[in-house]
Amino acid sequence: MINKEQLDELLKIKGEVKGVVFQTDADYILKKEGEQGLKKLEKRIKELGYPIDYRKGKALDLHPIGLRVISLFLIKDTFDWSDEEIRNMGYTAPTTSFIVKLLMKFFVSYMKFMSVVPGYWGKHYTVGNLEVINLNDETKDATLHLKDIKIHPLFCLYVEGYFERMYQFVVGKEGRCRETKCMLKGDPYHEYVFWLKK
Amino acid sequence: MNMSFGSKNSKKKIKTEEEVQGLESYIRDFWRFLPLPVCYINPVNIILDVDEVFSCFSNYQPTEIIGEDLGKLFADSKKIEEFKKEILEKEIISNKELVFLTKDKKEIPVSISAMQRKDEKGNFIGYFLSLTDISESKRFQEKLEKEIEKKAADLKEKIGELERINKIMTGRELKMIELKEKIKQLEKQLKS
Repeated sequence: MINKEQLDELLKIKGEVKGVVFQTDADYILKKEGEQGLKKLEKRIKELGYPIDYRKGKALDLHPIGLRVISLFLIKDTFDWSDEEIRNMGYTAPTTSFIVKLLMKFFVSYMKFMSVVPGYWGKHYTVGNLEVINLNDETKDATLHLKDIKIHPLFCLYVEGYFERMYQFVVGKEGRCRETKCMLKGDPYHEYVFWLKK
Repeated sequence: MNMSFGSKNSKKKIKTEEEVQGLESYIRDFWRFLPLPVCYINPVNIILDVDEVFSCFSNYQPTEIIGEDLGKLFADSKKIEEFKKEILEKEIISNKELVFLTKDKKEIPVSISAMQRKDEKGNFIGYFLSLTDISESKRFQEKLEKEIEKKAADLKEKIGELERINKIMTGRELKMIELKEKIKQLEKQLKS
């Protein structure tokens, strides 16, 4: 159980995130818990005094990155969800994201997407750098490194699910993504490895 | 000087953000308004967006169907594979008939239309696809075809009947001629 002081600490993390993440959070909660579920979460957010507007917030507005994790935390805690459910929330996010709609021209092919991946990260976050380390157009294997962003394991899990769905969008097949290195475990970067499901 | 430059940049940024937000609101409203089932597909035939009508029509929630292959939505895999190839070559495809498969495996005859999207360099980046439910017109067409078939059978029967009558009448005429000829011969015999 996390307390308010711990959550407030998260607000000290440098960097910002686009409001689209709260829109996709709200879409997922509505799907899983319905209108009552979203109201329950909104009540909790309001009581704790965090400025997250799940309904009227604009997709492209910038918010402190700490709010991203606070939202994940409070969702997990309010609905007593497992880590897997948070990962699944990340996996579902690209299907309702307005930014994905804006950037559809990126989702043309595996190679095209991988060539614009660093910029794609920047469309969502003002901190962190995403780099393509390994790429194989034949097998569709890939390795990405996410640097200069150290937030929370819950965020890493969410991103892993998100990346997995993006990968499937461009390979057109079922694929997997796993975080194999993590800055929160002492590694110099987060490493995400992608492969096609056999 | 720097302050003024910074202020100008900031105003420009706010203006751009406002324009993008306006665009965001416009796109959301437009997709909500569209009265047809419409979806957006990328070049590897993955569904990237659907409107609300599409969701109702297919019975799939957007989160269930976005990210899936287009082929999942059609009964005849061969025909949909042909379509996938065709859209790579044609900018617009109109009124192609296929059988749509809903989430609960209900088959609905549809007419599909598609339009390519290209980037600023002219590269193919995906396509819009719309569906029209043609079940009603298909039912009407089938009913019409059955009626035509029935009418044709009736007509055939009537023609047959006419032919029979005609045959009888012709036979009767020939018999009359024959009899008249006989009478003539008999009259001749009597005179002589």
